[in-house]
Amino acid sequence: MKRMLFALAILILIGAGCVLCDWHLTRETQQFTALIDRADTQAELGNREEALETLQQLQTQWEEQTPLLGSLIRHAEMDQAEQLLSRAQACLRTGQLDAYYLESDSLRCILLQIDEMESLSLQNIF
Amino acid sequence: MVIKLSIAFLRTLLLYVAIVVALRIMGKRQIGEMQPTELVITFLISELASVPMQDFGIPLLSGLIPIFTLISAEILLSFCELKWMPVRRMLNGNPMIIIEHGKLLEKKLRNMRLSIDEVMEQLRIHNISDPSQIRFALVETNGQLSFVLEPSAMPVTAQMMHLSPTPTGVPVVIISDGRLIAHNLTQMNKDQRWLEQQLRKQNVKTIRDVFLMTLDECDNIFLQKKEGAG
Repeated sequence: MKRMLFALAILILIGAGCVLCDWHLTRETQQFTALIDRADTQAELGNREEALETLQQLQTQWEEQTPLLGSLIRHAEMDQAEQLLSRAQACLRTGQLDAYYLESDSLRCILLQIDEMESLSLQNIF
Repeated sequence: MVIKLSIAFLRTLLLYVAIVVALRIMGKRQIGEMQPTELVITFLISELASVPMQDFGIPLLSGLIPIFTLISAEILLSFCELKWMPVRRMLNGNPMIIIEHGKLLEKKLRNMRLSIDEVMEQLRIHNISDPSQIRFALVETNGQLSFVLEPSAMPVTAQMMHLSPTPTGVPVVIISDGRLIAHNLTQMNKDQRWLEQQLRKQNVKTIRDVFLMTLDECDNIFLQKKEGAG
């Protein structure tokens, strides 16, 4: 009986943990994409410095979440996101706005893809 | 390169500990005694653990969560099997008689996809020379063959000979490889003085000279000295 209850507790813990992590990942992804959108708007308005600051803020937030994200998602995807973020920042610094929009779009896509891949959906289950 | 090797080392250790804990939670079973579902789980666990062990890009949780989910599900299923017969029958099936009163049941053998060679092999392993000695042979739910012999072929027991052999109990290890297990000695209601007396009787100088000493509830002692001890 004890073993059964222990097994049940583990299953509930795992289930709850998965739901919590999924919720957390969605929330963080939304925050990241909101920052990207803000940076894009700022870049469109010609405020390159502010756009860079926003991306820096994104980077700081990303680095804070890296330990948890690293235990949830594939490291290759994380590396890709970090690369795209660095390239977007570099494009802004050098004033290459067209290239910047490409990089920021790719970054947005990959963040949404990360969230989608980890979310509880029939598509992911099957 | 050194960091990569360190990561491989640590990941392997962590996963190894997780597997040991998981199998410990599942309970003690030998491979030959496992039910089909337990055997599947055991193989699955090793496969699941090997993936994050080899690919550092995959989070460790990707291996740990499936392992513990499987173990927990297996335990819950075992509990359901224990409580409800229909679940047990559905998952494990029923034992099947394949030999009855010395006669091999061809249809049952075909159903079980057992060849005559396999049956004869099992007879030899169980020291049975002649199928006519078998009253019943059953294929158990774990795939093993068990035999009920005809009374005339059964090994002689002390009861049949009207003998009263010395009773024995479960042996408890008191000394293992020269080391005293004090807890077991206390458990058997013996003390150091008793132990020294026993060692003297067996011409053993010290505990360190003993390879194995066991004691059971009926005070039966087994003692083996270390090779080269006086």
